[in-house]
Amino acid sequence: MKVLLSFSSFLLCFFFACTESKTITFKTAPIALVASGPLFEGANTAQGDFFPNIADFLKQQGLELSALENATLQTVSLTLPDSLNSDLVSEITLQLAADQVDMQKVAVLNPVPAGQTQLTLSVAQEQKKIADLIQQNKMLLVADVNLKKDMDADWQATAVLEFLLTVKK
Amino acid sequence: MKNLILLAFFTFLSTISNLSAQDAGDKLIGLWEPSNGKARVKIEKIGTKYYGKIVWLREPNDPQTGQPKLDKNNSDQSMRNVPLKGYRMLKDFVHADGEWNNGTIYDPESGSTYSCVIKAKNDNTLDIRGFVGVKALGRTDVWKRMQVK
Repeated sequence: MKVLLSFSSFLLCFFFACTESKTITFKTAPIALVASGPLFEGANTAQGDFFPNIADFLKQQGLELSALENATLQTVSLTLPDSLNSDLVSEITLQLAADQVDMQKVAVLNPVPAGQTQLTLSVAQEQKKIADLIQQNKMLLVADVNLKKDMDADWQATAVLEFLLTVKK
Repeated sequence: MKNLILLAFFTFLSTISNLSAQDAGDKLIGLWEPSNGKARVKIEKIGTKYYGKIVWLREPNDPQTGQPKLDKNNSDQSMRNVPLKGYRMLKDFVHADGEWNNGTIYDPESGSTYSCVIKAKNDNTLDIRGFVGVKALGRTDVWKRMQVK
């Protein structure tokens, strides 16, 4: 009986040791978002491409891609070239998509504060398929930008996304 | 040399065929109105898929608050302040075999998302069928193009 208990304890410890995880932060480089003008009052679409190269990032941490268990988006910050780009906008909603993964709504800012060039969006509590998205070669950022009035020029911003990766140790 | 000419010919044919398939799918792009006339939806292509967002609402403001309508029925509380104007209610449609499928449609009035298939009756009329699980168990709405071709 004693031997059986010891063996069970050993198995339990082995199981937990094998499944132990840790978290790593993965922050993107600035991603350019552009809606080509002329733009009209109301809903407009700004887009940007991003190549996550998550396998390379994990490799730098001494990990394989297969170690990735989960990913969540933690923060989304936007930098605008000037305050005009925020003054004209009432709300911004951000989505992530890829050819092989469905579009996910991930963040919103409503209302957009006037006179700001640095914006922080509220990130969705319910997140799906983020790990799938960041494993794609190319990820699309799609920002729905509601304009208060017409705009002749392009609407531009750069986005920085911060993901929390859960990986097997 | 003969093989090279044949290869170039078949590559040309394949390119033409791909381009015409893309063009056929792109006829979904435009401004559409559902049968209830409550909204207008702009369908656009992003990457290789088609998406539709609400660009006009007959009643843009919430009668209770007097403010622009929000996605107040979203199951995710943190996303309930997303405005309905600009909302992507059609997502991820792929064109194949004369229809647009694998997509979803969101009903902001219930906060529910349904599987969806779109068929073009003609250049200016769409059958939009939302369903749960099986296509037979669904409802079809007829959408009209706002800028008639």
